[in-house]
Amino acid sequence: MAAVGIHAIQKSFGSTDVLKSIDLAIEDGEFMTLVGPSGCGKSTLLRIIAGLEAQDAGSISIGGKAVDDRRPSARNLAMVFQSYALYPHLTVGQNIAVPLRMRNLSMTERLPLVGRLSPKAAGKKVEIDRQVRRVAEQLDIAHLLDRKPKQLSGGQRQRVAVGRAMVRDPNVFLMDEPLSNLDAKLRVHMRTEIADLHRSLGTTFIYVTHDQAEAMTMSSRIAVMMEGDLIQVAPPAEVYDDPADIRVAEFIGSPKINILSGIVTNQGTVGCNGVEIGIQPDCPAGAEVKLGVRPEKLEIAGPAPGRLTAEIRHLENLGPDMLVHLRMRDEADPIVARCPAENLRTARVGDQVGLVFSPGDVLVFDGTTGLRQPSRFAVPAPEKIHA
Amino acid sequence: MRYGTSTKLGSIAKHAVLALGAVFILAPFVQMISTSLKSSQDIAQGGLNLIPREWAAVENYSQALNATPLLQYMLNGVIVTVCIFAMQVLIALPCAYALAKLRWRGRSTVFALVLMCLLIPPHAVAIPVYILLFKMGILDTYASLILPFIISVFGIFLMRQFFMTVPDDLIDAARMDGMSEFAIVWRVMAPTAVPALVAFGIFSVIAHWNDYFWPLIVLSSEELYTPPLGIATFRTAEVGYVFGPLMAAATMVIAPLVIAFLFAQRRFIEGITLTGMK
Ligand SMILES: Nc1ncnc2c1ncn2[C@@H]1O[C@H](COP(=O)(O)OP(=O)(O)O)[C@@H](O)[C@H]1O
Ligand SMILES: [Mg+2]
Repeated sequence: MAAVGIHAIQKSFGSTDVLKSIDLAIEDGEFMTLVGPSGCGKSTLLRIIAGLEAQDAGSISIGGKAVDDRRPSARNLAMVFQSYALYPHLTVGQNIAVPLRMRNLSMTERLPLVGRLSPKAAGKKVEIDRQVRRVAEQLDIAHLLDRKPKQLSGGQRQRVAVGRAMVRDPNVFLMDEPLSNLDAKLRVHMRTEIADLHRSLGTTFIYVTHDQAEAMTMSSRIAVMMEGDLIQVAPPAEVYDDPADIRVAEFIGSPKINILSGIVTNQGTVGCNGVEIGIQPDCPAGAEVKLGVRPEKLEIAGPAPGRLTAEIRHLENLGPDMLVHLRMRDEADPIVARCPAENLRTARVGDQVGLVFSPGDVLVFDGTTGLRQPSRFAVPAPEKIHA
Repeated sequence: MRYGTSTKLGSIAKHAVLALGAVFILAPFVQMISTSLKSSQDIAQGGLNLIPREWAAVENYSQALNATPLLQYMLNGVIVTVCIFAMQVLIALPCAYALAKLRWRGRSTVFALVLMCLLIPPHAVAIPVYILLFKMGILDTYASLILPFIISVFGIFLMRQFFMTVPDDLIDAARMDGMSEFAIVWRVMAPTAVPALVAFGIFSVIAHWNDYFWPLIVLSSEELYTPPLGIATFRTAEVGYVFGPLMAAATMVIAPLVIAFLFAQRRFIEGITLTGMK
């Protein structure tokens, strides 16, 4: 178990800067998820932590000690790869045993014959077998120990890969999109298993994914990466409710957050599609802003003056909830509202409806930089104003 | 069922063509085996009889074994081909690994050189190599039969192509597990590349078992002769061409290759199609 420090890590491949000075302190025992769109440099950062890739500048520390000049195996980390990377010619048991054999047996002791001749080596091998069996039982794969990886299902391979990582009792687990080769149902199930594993081991986990749902459901903290930069590091709830940047707001949450464009009025409130929204951002009058409203914070009501109106384009029934896809005049992007289904019994595609939301639920972003703007309500403590 | 008959006809035609090809390729071998069983009168009479009119199998084969130390030649052949292949693997696998999976300056240039070396016919460099071996003072030794062939650019190329298909994650996993780069070559890459190694092995063994040119140049002591040179000694006997024993010797010389190929056939085909790993 150990804390991991990432200090001013930079990396470029040729002329492209893949990582632009990343700083991140991961606490001991934390489940830290690196999340971001494909190609933003998550895997590269993870590989630098592992020692598989050398950084151009900066330093990695594990348990407070710089490990930059240590080989991957000397850092005592374990990694689970997207493709599982099991040795195809070895059985499940042998696969799980490899890290222990490499660490605990000398080169001569690994030879098959020596094991039988030297009692010391034989003892070590028995101990390795015991540990392999313990891990296999913990992961419910003890009955598969003699199979080859080819004879396993995706989920079983996944467990073997986790077992190979667990068996050496590493300081830190690194996982690079370990669930993305599984089918949807198994993926959801494995989320819980990995979160359970983290709880029972108490080891630091660094988990890479491009799937925001995985990040939200498993992590202690989320680090959102975009184009080689960390733009927000916070617990899942904070990343969701209080995004620091419009890119974070758009990346986290499904369906995606609704973004409306507006202009700060002379009264300091925001005008949006000819409607005044009762919120006062810290921006000069005339500044362009973006307003973000989560789909579940939008309510559908009858059209009324002073209310944003939109046309229903599509209704998606999720059972308890209904996703209402709307098109607003002057907005390029569609709007999505998530409402309890019983409120929408009479709604039909093509209806003109009004949108209702509390100004407290509006996130204001700078129109050019995309940074979050602090804002106050124009009307003191409104219960719910119909904008 | 027109569709059925037409595919049936097609498959008959396919098999007919293949059978014709097989007959064409196999005819000399059948002729060889048949001749090795005939007496010299029978052979002299000519004709296309495959079953000998006058049997002399025992005489031919025992003469082949007695007139020349054929077993000695075959042992030489085994020593030379096994040593060559072992050294080729020892050199080609690390090279192929470096070319396929490691990132270093000049890698593509070196690979281009490997491809270029594939184009150089071995006879073109025979004289310089001969002079080199002469200067080293090892002409007419096993070493002179083995050393010139231990670096196989074909082997490097073949194994490199195969290693390209091995996922990078597997190598990274091995590094995380504490394997050195050499351990990765021998404990991860080599076992996954068995089909390609078998294919390479067959190419290499056949080429060097059957090589006539190089042993002829560097050898003068008969006790180092390899099988093809050994067979040739029949021709120089005073009697002129003694076809029966000659063909008996030839049959015995190629038998190990045929048997080995039959055993390795499935792996060999996997290896050349390079799909064994998927
Ligand atoms: N070995 C490499 N050589 C060149 N470019 C690379 C290499 N590895 C990654 N990249 C590039 O770096 C960027 C980030 O890659 P990666 O870290 O794998 O992204 P992610 O895991 O977030 O999808 C990508 O644009 C990728 O093309
Ligand atoms: Mg990646």
